Amino acid sequence: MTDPRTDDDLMLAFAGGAPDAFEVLYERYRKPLYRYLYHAVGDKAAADDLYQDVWSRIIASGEKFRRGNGFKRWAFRIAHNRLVDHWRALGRQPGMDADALDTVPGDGRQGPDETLERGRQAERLRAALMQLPPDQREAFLLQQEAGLSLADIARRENVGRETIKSRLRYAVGKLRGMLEPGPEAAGK
Amino acid sequence: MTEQRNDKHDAALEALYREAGDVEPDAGLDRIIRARADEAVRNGRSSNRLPWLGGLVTASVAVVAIAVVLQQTPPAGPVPSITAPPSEDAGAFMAPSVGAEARLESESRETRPVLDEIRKMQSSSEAAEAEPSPSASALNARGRSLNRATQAVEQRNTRQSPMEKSQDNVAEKDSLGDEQSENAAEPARSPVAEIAENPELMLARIEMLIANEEIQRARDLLEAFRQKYPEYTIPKKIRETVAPE
Repeated sequence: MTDPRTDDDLMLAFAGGAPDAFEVLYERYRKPLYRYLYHAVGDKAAADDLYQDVWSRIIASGEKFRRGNGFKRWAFRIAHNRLVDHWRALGRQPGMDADALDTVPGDGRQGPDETLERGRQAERLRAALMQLPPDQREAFLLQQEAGLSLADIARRENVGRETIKSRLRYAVGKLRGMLEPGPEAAGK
Repeated sequence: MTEQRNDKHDAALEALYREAGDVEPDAGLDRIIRARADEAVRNGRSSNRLPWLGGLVTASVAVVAIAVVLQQTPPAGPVPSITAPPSEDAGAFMAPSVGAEARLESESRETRPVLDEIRKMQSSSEAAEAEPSPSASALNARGRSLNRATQAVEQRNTRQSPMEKSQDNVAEKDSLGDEQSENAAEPARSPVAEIAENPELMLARIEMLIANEEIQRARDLLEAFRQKYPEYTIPKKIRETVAPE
């Protein structure tokens, strides 16, 4: 049975000393936050570190949380800021790791095992995401994982709404081209 | 037509993303984070249980510290230097204490004449014992009591250890002209001072001086007596004998 309380209520309850509220909240956001971080950095070890750090910050900042902040926006803002710190510490632009492409299996390889196929698809997706420019990938992940609207993403990135719309359009188009065979490829 | 196809492809892309991109943290990672949350809740509860406790403890410590400081008496003087080597001369133990002499010298103005007279009285009373006379025999009892008091002072001074002497020296040097420090350095009154504080003993000394026909000294001591005890009734015999010329 799902807890009827809102995210904000749960966070406030946790800040007030209710551990069960955190359990519900964690179950709601463990996957979205992890996917966001994992697909942003494209590396499991780094994603694990970032994930721990993000949740630690959420826990530590519980007393600062106010009703109306919107837990989802608030949590993903923390995750986004942590990602920026991560990339800054690496001293390089995110998503430019060519090694990721080397791990992409060939398109024509087919395996009888469905699990293996799903694994390949996941790998292709990760590689495709890493091929996106950082701003496009960020916009795509925030929309997919955080469910943020164009306006919310625009505010977070300090750009116009149309800019975000354009980034998303480019991101989806590139992903589509990398993950699905186009008409030309299908015709071959 | 193109838009419909793009929407279709977008939906397929999202579905692919949901399916292929469905990753989740390890169970170990979940345990770590849940443990941190539990710890934060415990710490938060313990810190919020008595939010005023920290202030109360701080205030209590401050009050105790102030009380201790106020209870302490101020130091009598600078701490004597323990590096000063004690005199190894055996004669220093037998010789009159320098500190005692200095203390005697620093007695109050009223005490000094008494001390001088007591010392002179010692010799005169010994002479009186050698040649007892009817006029002096009555006063010898008082003289002996004064003598005992003087001996007690000197015995106390000679019994002082080198360290005590050193302390006396330091205390006396620092207390020159400083009545308050002097009193602090020697809170207990010496027997000589007790004699000076006792008008009966002073009058006895004056009477002894009169008996020894040392009228001028008796007059000086009587003057000191009058200054110290202006309301005290001076016996007629003394008044008439040592009346100013």
